[in-house]
Amino acid sequence: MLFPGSRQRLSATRQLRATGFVLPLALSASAVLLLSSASIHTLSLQGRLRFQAAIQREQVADQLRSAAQAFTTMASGAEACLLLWPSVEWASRHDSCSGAELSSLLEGTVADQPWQLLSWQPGPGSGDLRLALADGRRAKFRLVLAADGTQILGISDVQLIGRDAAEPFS
Amino acid sequence: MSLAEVLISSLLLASSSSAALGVWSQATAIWQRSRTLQQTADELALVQLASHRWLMLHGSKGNLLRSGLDPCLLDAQALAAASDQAVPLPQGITRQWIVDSDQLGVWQELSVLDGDGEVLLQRRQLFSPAAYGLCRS
Repeated sequence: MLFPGSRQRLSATRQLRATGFVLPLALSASAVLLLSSASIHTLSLQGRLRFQAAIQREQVADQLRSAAQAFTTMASGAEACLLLWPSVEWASRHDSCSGAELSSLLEGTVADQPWQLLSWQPGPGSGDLRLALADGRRAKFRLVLAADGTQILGISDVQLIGRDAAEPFS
Repeated sequence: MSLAEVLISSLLLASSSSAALGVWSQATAIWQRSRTLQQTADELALVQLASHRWLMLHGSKGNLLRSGLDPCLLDAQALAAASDQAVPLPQGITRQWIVDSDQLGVWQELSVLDGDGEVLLQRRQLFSPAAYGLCRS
């Protein structure tokens, strides 16, 4: 049982609540809509950036593959006999390979992109080749060798490698 | 609930919905385009890998070298003809074999063009006959 005064107060409170109900609801709904669309847009842009980064990574891998192919070209003439020894020994073994031009295996340029040999390590039937581009990105390849150790028969796909802390920045 | 409040709320909701729809459609277009490009990039990578494997396994079977040359060099025309048969291209991808200016090998250039002939994606890699045991002495 309500007194007349209480009934009037309750009616006034209901009216006040009804008056302030729609606008805050519209504001909240608008904020949710705009925030969610901004999030979706950010996600789609992030996806595009990730794709561009992946393409750039593939293009660097192509440059390293091309540098390795150029190395095999340079190692197919008189320089082929240097493949018998690790690259750290090439300077001392140079006299054993008549006509070999050591510098052509140590560095070169492919499509205006300089590359540098990091190391060559022959093993039984294959050898490990490590190369770096001028910007410091590096990769390794496994070269399949003929029985005589001086003939390249095949090349593996590129394997990108990180920088070794012990190696100086080139 | 006054008429002014309802009008303002309706306007607010209508404008924010319209803006959100615009942004969503733009985001969907970006996502769709990125997805299409990613699929095309995967196809380019597959073609490049297939070319490499084909030369590794069957390079010595075809006559891919220019005759009478020392050092040995790949014949770009023979390579183009043989690779078109051995490694067919998916629709929308074009391939060119270009002799390196320093005679280091032959470049395989894989491109995807848009409707106006502009390059959307391109992969380029040097191939040397020496890397596949084709220059046996």
